[in-house]
Amino acid sequence: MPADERDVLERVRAGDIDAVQALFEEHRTRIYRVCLLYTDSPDDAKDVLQETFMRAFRSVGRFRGESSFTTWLTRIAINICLNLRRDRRNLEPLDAERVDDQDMIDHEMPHTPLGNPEQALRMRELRERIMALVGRLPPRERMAFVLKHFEELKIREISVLMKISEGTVKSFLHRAVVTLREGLAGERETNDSAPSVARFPGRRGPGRIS
Amino acid sequence: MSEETRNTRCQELGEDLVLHLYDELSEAERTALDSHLAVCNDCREELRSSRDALQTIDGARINQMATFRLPSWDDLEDELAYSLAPLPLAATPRRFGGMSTMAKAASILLLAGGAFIAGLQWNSIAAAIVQTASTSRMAQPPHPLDGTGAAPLPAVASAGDRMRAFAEQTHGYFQRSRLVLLEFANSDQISDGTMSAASRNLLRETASARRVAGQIHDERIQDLVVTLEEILTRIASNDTDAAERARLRSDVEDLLGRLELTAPPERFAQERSRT
Repeated sequence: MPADERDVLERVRAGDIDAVQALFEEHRTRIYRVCLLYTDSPDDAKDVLQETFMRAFRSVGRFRGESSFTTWLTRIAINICLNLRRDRRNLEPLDAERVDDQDMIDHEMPHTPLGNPEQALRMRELRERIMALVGRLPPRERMAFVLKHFEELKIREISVLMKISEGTVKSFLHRAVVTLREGLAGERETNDSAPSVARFPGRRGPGRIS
Repeated sequence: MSEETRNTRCQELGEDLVLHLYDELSEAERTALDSHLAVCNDCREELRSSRDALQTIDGARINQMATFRLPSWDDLEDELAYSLAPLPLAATPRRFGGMSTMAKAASILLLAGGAFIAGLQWNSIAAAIVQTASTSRMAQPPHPLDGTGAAPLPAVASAGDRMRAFAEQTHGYFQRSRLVLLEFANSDQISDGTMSAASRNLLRETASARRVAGQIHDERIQDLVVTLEEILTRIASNDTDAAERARLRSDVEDLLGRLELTAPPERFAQERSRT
């Protein structure tokens, strides 16, 4: 553990709110991103983020530095996410509380280099369909896919975070990709206006999708 | 290659197709996959459609929304700061486990009065609080707050600022009270006389705590001060009626919950109880 991290954790253990804020600022974006991609609901993601930090601060005394603090914190968030869905699935449809359309438009417009509102609308529809498909994946498959595809983590890292074998991560990913592929293909057959890859070439880093 | 062999091989390499797309195959695995792809139309087709699907997903730029409504510290500070205020004692409620009953009783009385007892093996967390207490009045604990006016807060103070100001200006009144409440809730061994004496000590600070809370203008803190005063008064009265003691115990637990964690999201309550 780096010395400065140890120092911050020591201050958190002593109840120093400034140190807590420092840790929160450092980790909130990454944790929230995973939670939002997993839940597809800003409200849920916010709740999970809050709960993650509450639990972390309450049990920081038990953190012994066997893993990195980042790993430890992310594991807490992942567990909350997985259990959250398990609890809620019986209560409400998975599609509830999805990212609100108008909010998304307001949010994405400044960042979307597509000047054409019609294209932006199609883009949003595509995004919604994809997130709906991702949302129907079983929790662990979905988490593995989020961590792999969106967070771009290595199989080995995902196995550490989810406390499952690398072989299981591979199986989860395979099943997730097959499900998504079939879901997208099924929708394309029933909806000719679905935007194709050629229309919206995605950002891809080197070696991302080879 | 026979049809059957090919199908078995396809199944074996199914996961490798996806790993290949994520560039997670070793050199040897990739070579093996390439040689299979060279002779297997089905797998080539599967690879192509999987790649298309992932590119479609990439094309939706979902990462762009990944920080959509990212909460700031200000958004969550209320919950986080309040949950943290009594953190030093929240982590290990049974911190007196290794002490004799007499030592517990002595340290509770001293803590409640704002004094410091040397030689106890506090962990670093508890030490911070005891240190706070020690700065109040070593020899004469009675009213650590008397004569100290509240330091001015910034015009727009956050919940954390207010909590900090309250803790500083009351020398950890909540934290020390919480210790007494915890022992009350947890222990059947300490005599009622000890608990009520500790509560009476704390009650001597109540007026000052109320004044500080009033100056800080925080309804939640004010409400906690009032509730705490009522609970301490009931503990101090040492009522032996069984029904009242049961109610008191339940109220103490409620208050401990509020001091530890104010209003956790309801949906997590069930899960929390499992962990």
